Amino acid sequence: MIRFEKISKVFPPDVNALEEVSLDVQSGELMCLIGTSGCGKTTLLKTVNRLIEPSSGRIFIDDQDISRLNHISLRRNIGYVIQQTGLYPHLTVEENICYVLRITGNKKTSCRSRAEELMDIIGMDRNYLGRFPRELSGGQQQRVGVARALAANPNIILMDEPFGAIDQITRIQLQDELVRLQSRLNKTIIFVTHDLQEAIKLADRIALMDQGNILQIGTANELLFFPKDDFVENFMGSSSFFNVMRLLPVEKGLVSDYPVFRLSQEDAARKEVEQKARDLGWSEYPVIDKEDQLVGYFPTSEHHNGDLYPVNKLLSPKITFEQALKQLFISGKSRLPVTTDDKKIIGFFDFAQAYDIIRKSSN
Amino acid sequence: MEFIANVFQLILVDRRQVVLSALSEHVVISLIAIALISAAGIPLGILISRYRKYAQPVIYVTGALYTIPVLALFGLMIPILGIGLRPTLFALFIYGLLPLVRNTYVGITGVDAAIVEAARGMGSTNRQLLFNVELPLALPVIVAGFRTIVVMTISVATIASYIGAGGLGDLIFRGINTYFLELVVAGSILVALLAIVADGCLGLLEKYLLKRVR
Repeated sequence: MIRFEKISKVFPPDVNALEEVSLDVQSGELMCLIGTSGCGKTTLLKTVNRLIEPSSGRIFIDDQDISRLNHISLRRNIGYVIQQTGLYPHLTVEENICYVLRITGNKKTSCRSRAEELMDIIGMDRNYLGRFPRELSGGQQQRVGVARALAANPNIILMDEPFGAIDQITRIQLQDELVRLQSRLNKTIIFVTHDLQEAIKLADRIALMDQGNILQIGTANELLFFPKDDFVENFMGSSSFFNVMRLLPVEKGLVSDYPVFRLSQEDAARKEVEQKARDLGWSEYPVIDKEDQLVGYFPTSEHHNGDLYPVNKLLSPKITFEQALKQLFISGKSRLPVTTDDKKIIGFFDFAQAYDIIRKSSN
Repeated sequence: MEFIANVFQLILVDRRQVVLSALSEHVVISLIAIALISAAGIPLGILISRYRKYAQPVIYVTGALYTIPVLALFGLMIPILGIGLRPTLFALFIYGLLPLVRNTYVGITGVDAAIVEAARGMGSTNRQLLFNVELPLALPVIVAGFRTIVVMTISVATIASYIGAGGLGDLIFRGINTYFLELVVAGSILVALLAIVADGCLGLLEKYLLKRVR
């Protein structure tokens, strides 16, 4: 965990870059610092690896005051990725990735195998290890930048607008890869960006900064639906509700308390489920077998012959709200089941309720 | 044509021994001077890249020395160091300092700030930053400075024969004094050749290094 305690930074003669900023970043959390340029987000980031020393205030990593640690060894235990990649042009990809390992005195052979491992992790061919940075595309260079930051297996990674200078298509690709990587590695990441869509997509929480202060800290939903002041509202508004629809995975807004009938159950239970479905205004309710797999629907109307209605459309929990909405319109239904790959039902996507769920989950 | 044939006859046959010893003397003087310049200039350039407030004064002083005309400098030194090898080396040293100090400084301070920051942020010590990152990346610029001083030293060393340094300048001056034109041309061709060959080799090295760091 990283804890900022009333961090101030004054650049001579009298520029207040940070004004008593306090922030907790949990272990395994991806925290986005966002704001316009000059808001202090990069300055705050660089206080963590002490490239910038705060004028006052303290920073704790796992309850250790970092100003008491040796700054060299502190930095070696924190991954660092910057916008211009900062790759060493005179070193090969392998030598770049292994830089921290080499300066801390590791053997070349052990570095080599770590570099190969990291190439697999970032999804690049091992043949690139012998290449020089100039021979790679911008996207590949930044992948190597990420691999280099991961080399010494640090718990904390600082990323300073890492995808800022990369074209839109590659940027989205790299963001997706970071999401995938993070779900696997669970690092504590502080990620500086000025791109709200990027923040919404990547962050567990967002800290919105302006003029050296944090205006609001919270999930994307919280900032979007419960802005603390006009500045936050305007900032978030520039992205619009529909951007959130485009980025938020559907699993974050599912109806999880829904009527469901298990085939093995008694008829009495079925009447109960039927009533619950009717109360919700549903015209049919899902039926599952003993493996919890969705096998079909029963209508709530009293005149039916006991046949199951077939399952037409299933949604994956990984798709976005936008995609789910599209599927909903195509299917002509009011709601669609969201299931795992083996057809086990997780919940329902119901647009009218999804909106409420997102709002409520923000509280 | 006959004149040129005479010149080569002179170099390769008639005065072969004299020419060879003048050439080797010239090379030795130049090498010593270049070694001295490098030993002082590169560390000085590195030093002012660490302590930047001294950079301007140091470059200014070495620049001022650089502007003194060669003969004037010799004239100034004869009362202090006399004639011969010592004042020659001293003069060559003073001339060569500026290009090397300046290029070392500019080369290091010109390394992409993002790269330096990445290296710092990853936990390089000052020494590691200098030797693993800054110097390798500054090398093409430093070599360009080195190339300048090598060529300059070879040519200035010729004039130094005036104050008794020896070398190829001796052939030229002796030729002038005795109106032995073939000897003048022989000395001149050899000096020019020496400078061109050195410059060409270092140019290739520079090109190769540039390709590595871009």
